[in-house]
Amino acid sequence: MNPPVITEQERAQKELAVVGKGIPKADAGVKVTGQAQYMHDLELPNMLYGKILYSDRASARIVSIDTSEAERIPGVKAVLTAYNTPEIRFGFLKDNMALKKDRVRQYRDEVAAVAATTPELAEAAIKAIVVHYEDLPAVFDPEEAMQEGAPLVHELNPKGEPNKDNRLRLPWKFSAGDVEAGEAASAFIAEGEYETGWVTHCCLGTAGCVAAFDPDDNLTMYSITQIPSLAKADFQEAMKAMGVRGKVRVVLTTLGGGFGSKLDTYAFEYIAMLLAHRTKKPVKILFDREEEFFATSPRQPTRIKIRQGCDAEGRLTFRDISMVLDNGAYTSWGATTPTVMMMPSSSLYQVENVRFRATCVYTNNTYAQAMRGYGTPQVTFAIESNLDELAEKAGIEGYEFRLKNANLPDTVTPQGFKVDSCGHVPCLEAVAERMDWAGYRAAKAARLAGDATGAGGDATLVESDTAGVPPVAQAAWTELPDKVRGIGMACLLHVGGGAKIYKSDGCGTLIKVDDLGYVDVYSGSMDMGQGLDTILRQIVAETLGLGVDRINVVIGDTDVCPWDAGAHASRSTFVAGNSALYAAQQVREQILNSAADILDTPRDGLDLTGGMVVCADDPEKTTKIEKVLRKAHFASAGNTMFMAAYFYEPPTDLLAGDFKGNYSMAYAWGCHGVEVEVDRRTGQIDIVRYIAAHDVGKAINPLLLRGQILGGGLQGIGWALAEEMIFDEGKLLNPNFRDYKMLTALDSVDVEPILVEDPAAAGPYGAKGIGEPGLVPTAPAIANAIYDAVGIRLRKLPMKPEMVLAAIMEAEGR
Amino acid sequence: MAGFEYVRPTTLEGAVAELSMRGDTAVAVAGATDLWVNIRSGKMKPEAVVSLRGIAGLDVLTPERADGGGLTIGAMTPHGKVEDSAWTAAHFPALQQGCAGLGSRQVRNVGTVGGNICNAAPCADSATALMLFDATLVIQGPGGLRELPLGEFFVGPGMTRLLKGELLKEIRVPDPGANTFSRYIKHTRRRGVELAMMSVGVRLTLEDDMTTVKAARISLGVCAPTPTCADRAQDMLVGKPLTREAVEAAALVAAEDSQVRDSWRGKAWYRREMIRVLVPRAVEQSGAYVAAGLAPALDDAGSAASSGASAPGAPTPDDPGASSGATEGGA
Ligand SMILES: Cc1cc2nc3c(=O)[nH]c(=O)nc-3n(C[C@H](O)[C@H](O)[C@H](O)COP(=O)(O)OP(=O)(O)OC[C@H]3O[C@@H](n4cnc5c(N)ncnc54)[C@H](O)[C@@H]3O)c2cc1C
Repeated sequence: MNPPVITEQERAQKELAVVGKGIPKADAGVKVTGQAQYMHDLELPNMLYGKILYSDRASARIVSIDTSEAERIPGVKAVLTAYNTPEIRFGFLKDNMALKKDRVRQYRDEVAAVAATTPELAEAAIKAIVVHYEDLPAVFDPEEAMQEGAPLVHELNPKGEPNKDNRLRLPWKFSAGDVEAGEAASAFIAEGEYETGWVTHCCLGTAGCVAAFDPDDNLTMYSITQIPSLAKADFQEAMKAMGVRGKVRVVLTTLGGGFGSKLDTYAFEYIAMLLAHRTKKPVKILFDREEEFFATSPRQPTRIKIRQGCDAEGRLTFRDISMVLDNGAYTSWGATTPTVMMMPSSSLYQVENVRFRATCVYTNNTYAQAMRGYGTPQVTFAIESNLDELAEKAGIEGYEFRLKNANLPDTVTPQGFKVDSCGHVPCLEAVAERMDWAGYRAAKAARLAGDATGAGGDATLVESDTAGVPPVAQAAWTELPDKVRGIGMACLLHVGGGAKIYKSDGCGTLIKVDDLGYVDVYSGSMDMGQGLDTILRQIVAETLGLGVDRINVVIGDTDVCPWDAGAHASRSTFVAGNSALYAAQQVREQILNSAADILDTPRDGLDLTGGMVVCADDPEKTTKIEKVLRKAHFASAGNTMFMAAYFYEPPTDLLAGDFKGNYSMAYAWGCHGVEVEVDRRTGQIDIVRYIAAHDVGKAINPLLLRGQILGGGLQGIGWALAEEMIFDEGKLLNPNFRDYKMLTALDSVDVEPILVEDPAAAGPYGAKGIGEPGLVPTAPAIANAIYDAVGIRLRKLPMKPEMVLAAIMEAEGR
Repeated sequence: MAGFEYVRPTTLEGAVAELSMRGDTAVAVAGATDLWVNIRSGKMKPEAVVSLRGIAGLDVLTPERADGGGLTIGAMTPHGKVEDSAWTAAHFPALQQGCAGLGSRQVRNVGTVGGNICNAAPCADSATALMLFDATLVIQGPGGLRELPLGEFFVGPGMTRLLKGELLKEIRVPDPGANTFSRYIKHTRRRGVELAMMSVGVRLTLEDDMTTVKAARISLGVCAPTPTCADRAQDMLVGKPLTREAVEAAALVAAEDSQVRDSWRGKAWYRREMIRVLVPRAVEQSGAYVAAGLAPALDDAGSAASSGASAPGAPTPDDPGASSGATEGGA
């Protein structure tokens, strides 16, 4: 179905009443007062508590599992293993199983599960299960895992054919133009290797579910998924594997955070299904903090090699990227992040000749999933750090270099992205202006000149990025102050209008209006705290000329809500927003047409605004919307209620084969600028100032938008400087907030957002997505600032004080 | 997690009796911010927990005199109380800083100084800060009271010289004398809710010439199995004029003598290097150089203004509004 026309002019004519206003989140009250129902709060009559026994080694054969003692514990209602349950395969390549049979491949492998009347009994039962293993060779380094003779993590592929090696057979290759020709035409080339490690989402609400079957084997899955419709399909498939005929309904509780961690279904959910079906009772599995750390799927680690070149004027000539990704032992969305990494690789800055290759490798580590940015933070760290290196080689200041190569509106990128609205240059300029980039640089240059003439200058401002002279060459380290400052910037490109990574990137909306002027909006999308429900309220309220208090958004129930591809790719405001907008426009037409009949006046002169049907031709006829609704409903003839359904499918291309096409309806740009203070004696990094300029199309709700930018920025700063999952041969050493260094309130940086509004033609009221971009360029912006301050190029995350100090000491010859 | 009996005696003697009677199966609890973590993780499985919360008179912070002098800290005094004490901040800055940088405000509101000492973690902040001031522990046992210098109390991680049934009653901090300067620097990865990767405390007392070092203490956290003092390094300073060179030489010796270890939480070389860097910084921030005429007056927190030299009209122990913690976190 095509979207109804009219919209543009109508939008332009009216001043917006609720769109563009920073109204508080719809769920603020229930969350603050503790009324919001999280998975932790959910209890059903006769509910049992499920618990999982995980492997205690990284790679082993299961010799035997003795569950007899666990079964004898009173209150234990079921003890399941792969040997007494049907096999449920799941995941992107179906290489994962709900309960593991014969072999474990990682510490988080689910070996057995129990259901008991209390969590304590379930825990006791788990402890009573005895598993005998025989250790098998393991491999933890993806590059070692690629070597010939490395132990195979999977002997067979999911089809049952033997695997030759640990490489996944995934076609992640892209090329455009002629990279060799680009190299030949280059006056300067910079290359580098960058590494990013394991980090995780740190959802404050731990994962969990309640699975409940009715007597006819219909399953209600109370869930915290970010993908209600796709999860329903996954669970329905599992029902088939279980030989169960019923239908699946997915119902969401309030989520305590998502960040991508809930974009795939997990073994624990299938295990809850198995336990519930076996016991005929609802079964709840709720992760503790340790499980949340080790048994949910983190961000994909990468090792990236990059080469970029430019001509004598500083125009990019080519970009060549290859990377190895640690897939872990099973395959989830982490393995598909290269499809999204191709986006900035091919299309951030104007560069014609591009090559991109990614290899995902099985190891005996935990397996990775989606996390805010979906690969783009990792590859942007390489691109934007290396860009500064290239600029320095070319003798061009980094900001100028970026401006020269920046993306422009109404262009088509080498990957085939049709860029219409493009705020790249405005974002760059906004950051440069806010930070007085030129002034900062000039002051440093002046002081550097002072140093060079022997006049002695302020060593805090030793220039490090003009001619490639490291600061230590200009002053002995003992003469430098302990704390030195520097500035850096980095840009981003992300999808801002959905992303066709499934066959459908659509979202459905149903709307009904009652006699009293209250509107229920049933959307397929979901909220994990980002505020989608609030955004939909604003869009529908604006369209129907009602206050937001009249709009009730119903989400998170697959029995009630239409299909949606899930909350990912920063797509919900754009896709679910458009879907709601077009459904609301249909209702609006219905109401106005009825009003024309009822008021006996031409439709063209009517408008919905301020809760009224406004009649421009005859102001006397202006009336409350409710009156029209009731008249239409209770009319003596032709009684009608107003309802609409709309399924919005962005007309984009599913990328396959050569990965060329337009896979989003809009592209989001941004630029972060940061000033750091580096302690040369301790290696500690202090963020003095952090500016985040984002091209958001249109800020539907500036308050929530700010929240997304601040949250993304802080999460990114944590990723850049502090957070890491530390593994010892596959075992997570720091599954807690004591040792996993998520930043705290006291570490918060005052991220200053700048909103650049360059409306997206296809966006709801011009909006683009903003869920992920705030995180994307954080690490390279900081790394570039550290380089500016101390002349140290850090290529590995997180940039911990000991790494920084070791590099400084080496450079300074200490 | 098994259940346990909860006992709440109302006198210290009663608590000692309860503990003595139950032997190894019982454990004392103050704020429970260490104990509960250990019980939940299964590291400790006591059959009974003897609470000290019902005992009057243990939550005290008593200065000897309003114009300075010594200090008595009841074992049950929460860190937040020391943090809020402007009097402590004025007369024992490093102690106030050690308490103010511990955990989060919520943890400081319940976690006690006595618990911090008796838990005997190598990173114990208030214990490491107290090492600077030659504190003495007053211990109640079945046979009565005894005293033990804090420096002799620790045996190893989680191990102390407390005997079966014994409880810490209070900590007595003697008057360090006029011209005393101190500073505690906690080195962490982040600023909030963080255990020290290592920490450094310094305390210098100058002779009236304001040049010669009369007494010097350098205490270290996470640089040995217990909080320690760098004996050789601090002795190097005593009886000599205070100079930056002397402090740096002492810092080097403190680093060399330390028993820092490699762990996945932090590398030995880095901890050692931090001793070398942070000992001089702590002296700088204590205000001692300013007093000795080696530096112009400082203006940031931890400056001469909050240094150990008693200022006229110094606030009383119950005054809130002291400067905040001294955590040197790098986000
Ligand atoms: C989130 C968090 C953050 C923390 N951060 C820090 C930090 O930054 N720095 C730091 O040093 N510590 C930190 N801690 C640890 C803890 O808060 C402190 O060690 C605190 O001082 C312990 O005091 P408590 O009263 O809670 O002791 P409890 O937990 O009640 O007791 C600790 C131990 O001491 C014994 N004990 C207590 N009182 C007495 C007594 N009077 N006589 C004999 N034995 C006694 C108990 O039997 C027990 O073995 C943190 C803890 C948490 C939970």
